[in-house]
Amino acid sequence: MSGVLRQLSISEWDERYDRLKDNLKEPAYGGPLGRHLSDGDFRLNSIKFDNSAAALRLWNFLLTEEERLAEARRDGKKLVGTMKDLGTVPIIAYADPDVVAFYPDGAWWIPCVMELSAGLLDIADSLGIDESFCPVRAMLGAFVTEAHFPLPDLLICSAGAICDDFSAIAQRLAGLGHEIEWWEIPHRHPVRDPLERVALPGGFFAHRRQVEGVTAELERLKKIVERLTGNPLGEEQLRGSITAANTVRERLAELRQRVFTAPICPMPALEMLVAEMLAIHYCSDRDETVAVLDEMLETVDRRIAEGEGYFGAEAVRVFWINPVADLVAMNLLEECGGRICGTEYLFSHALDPIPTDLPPLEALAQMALADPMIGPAQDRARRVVSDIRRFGSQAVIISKIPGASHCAAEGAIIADVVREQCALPVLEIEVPPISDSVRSSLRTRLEALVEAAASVRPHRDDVLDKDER
Amino acid sequence: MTRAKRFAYSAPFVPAEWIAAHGCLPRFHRPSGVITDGPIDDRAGLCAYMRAFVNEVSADSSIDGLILTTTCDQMRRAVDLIADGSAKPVFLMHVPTTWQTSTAYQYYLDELDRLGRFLVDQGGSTPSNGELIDVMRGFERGRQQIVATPERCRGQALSTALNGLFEGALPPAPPTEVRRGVPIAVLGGPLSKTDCQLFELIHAEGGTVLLDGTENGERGLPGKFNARQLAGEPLQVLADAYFGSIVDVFQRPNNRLFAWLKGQVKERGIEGIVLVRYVWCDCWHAEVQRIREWVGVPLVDIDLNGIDGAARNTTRIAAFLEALR
Ligand code: SF4
Ligand code: SF4
Repeated sequence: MSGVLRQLSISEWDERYDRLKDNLKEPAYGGPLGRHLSDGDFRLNSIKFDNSAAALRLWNFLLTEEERLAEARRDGKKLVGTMKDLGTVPIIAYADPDVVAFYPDGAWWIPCVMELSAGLLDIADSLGIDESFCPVRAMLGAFVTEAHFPLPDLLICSAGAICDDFSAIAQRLAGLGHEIEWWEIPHRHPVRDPLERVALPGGFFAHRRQVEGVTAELERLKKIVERLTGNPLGEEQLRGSITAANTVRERLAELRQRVFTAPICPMPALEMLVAEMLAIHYCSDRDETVAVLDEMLETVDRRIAEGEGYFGAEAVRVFWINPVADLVAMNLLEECGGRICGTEYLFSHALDPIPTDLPPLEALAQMALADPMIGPAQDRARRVVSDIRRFGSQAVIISKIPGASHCAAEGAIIADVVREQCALPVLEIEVPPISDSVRSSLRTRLEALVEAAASVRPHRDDVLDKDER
Repeated sequence: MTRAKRFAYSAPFVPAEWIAAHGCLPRFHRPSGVITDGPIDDRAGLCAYMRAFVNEVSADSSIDGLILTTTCDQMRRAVDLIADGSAKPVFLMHVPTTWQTSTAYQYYLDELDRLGRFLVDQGGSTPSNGELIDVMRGFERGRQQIVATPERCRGQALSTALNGLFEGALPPAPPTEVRRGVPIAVLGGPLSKTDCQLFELIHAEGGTVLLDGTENGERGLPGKFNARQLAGEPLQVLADAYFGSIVDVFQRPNNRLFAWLKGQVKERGIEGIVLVRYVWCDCWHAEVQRIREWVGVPLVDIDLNGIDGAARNTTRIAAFLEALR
């Protein structure tokens, strides 16, 4: 008999924690979730959480990254702040065991998680970076206050075919005196000549010369990391780092596949979003990332085997595009009768396995070039369509990011391609970091989408590729 | 006889010489106004200049193709927006934002090579070194004539002069102005013809524009060709003069722009800066405060919406100039 699970509020989780704690095997960063409220993470009060020990560990892992970074610094490790590339440069950095890499970009969510109490957006405003920029502007405030992560020993940022928001904000950061090593990621253009074309992980193609160019850039970055630590990084270490990254990616791929295709949702949207983010930066501890994902997988497997899950089998299977500035919106979709079955949070390239049959830096160059955001929006749309088919999604939400330079053009293109190729209902929404004021209109729109999707409700096979059947 | 095909571009990093050497006509296009219908419809978050440029050249029967660049997200994604619906061929050129490495330089050369193949596909022909050198010498001579007259280096006069040069008929220089008023630099992204009215507005309010530091102004002119290298490596010389010399806000790092600005302010005795940027032009927007702090002369930040640039800024520009007098 299947069991319907219920998500918990943070106070419910703390009560549950009191009951369970004697039998819980927790890592050092464990503890009740409620303690993070005293760090100022007030949005947790509005979030509904999965009720498993695996989720408890996941949230605790996420919310203690700052402490891990401080500890790494105390241990004499070098901290490398990698910016924008989402998933590639940390693999070079982590090849040296004395280096910890992290993404200052993660400050994106601080205004939401701390309900604007940290004042990071006000600091960005005061530096001339107002709300016409995307929420990543919070990163500037985080550097100024030094209250959310230690200042890194080295800052590396990709430039070139990236969004103007990030490029502009990172340059503003450099203007404040934070030295940045820039590296070029070129725009991925169509390649007609098959002899010049390199097939990338994830299905895109790049020109051979671009792969060579990015490889040269990564070689340069490797030398910069070596100079920082004084340790040479050999091929074996890089291969080891790629293998470790692939371990994380494999776990995540399994988790996504099982959760998004299960008849009843075995893990809610927010926990899956956090899990996906681990693939980019490991929350500053790669081994622990694997352990966290393993526990999630065990939970999901057990729930699927026992027919347990959330929202019932009737929940509409929604594909979600772009990260949402207010995490609460993911809960809201679930309240409205949806569940997440497929995602594209701007970093799908960081979920694909890295080739192991190539020289390591060339393999990483291919990964960097597979970034959906550095090529035509049509490429990204095609990848979305293929994942919609893979996961049998019934509706699509394009979550426009406030101020983001790519969203105005890209959203419409992706929506058109999805409508044309999958004939699914598509909803474009824009959610601010604190969405309380738009909650009721957002609810109405989400409910309308769910209703529209439920009325057509294709059998999963209807959206599968012919050759997948 | 069929006329040579004409390709419109906006970013100064596209070398006109390279287009002309392929037997095509370059058009350094400055859109007249910004409210035109076309393949890019009006929606929140889109840059008015980008829309104006793309829509106008798409509708212009004298233009056979578009060359856009990745120098900003708006232009880059404009290509996505028109990809399936454009009646004209479109080429998107990656202009590296980094500039200090040999990799970046090589990307630029590779992109010139790709642009060349695009032009050949459109009916152009691959130039010999000799043909390229001839074009480079001719255009450089013409540019020298243009910059010899300061009045030709600003706003619409500059685009008219350059396009005249590219079409083989450099228009006569406008009469020399008597310098009066506060020396002003106009700095920022590109300006449409309509928004070039700002120059007259500044003039009317008691200023003299001594530097057009906008993207399609004097700042966007290439550096001098290296005469010694020209005969042996013309393409490299071309790349040096464009990619190696033109400074812009999108470059990473963009300290060359600041150094250039400081030098110009000093050399020309600039006493005030009018910084112009279209709404959603993030790279300029983000640097306004730093430029203000850094440059050492007063600055007024003018955002343009592509509708009524001069009119909506009259009071601010008047007040700014009044404060400077
Ligand atoms: S959310 Fe979009 S605009 Fe913001 S940093 Fe990420 S890619 Fe850039
Ligand atoms: S004005 Fe700015 S945003 Fe608009 S096309 Fe030009 S550089 Fe891009």
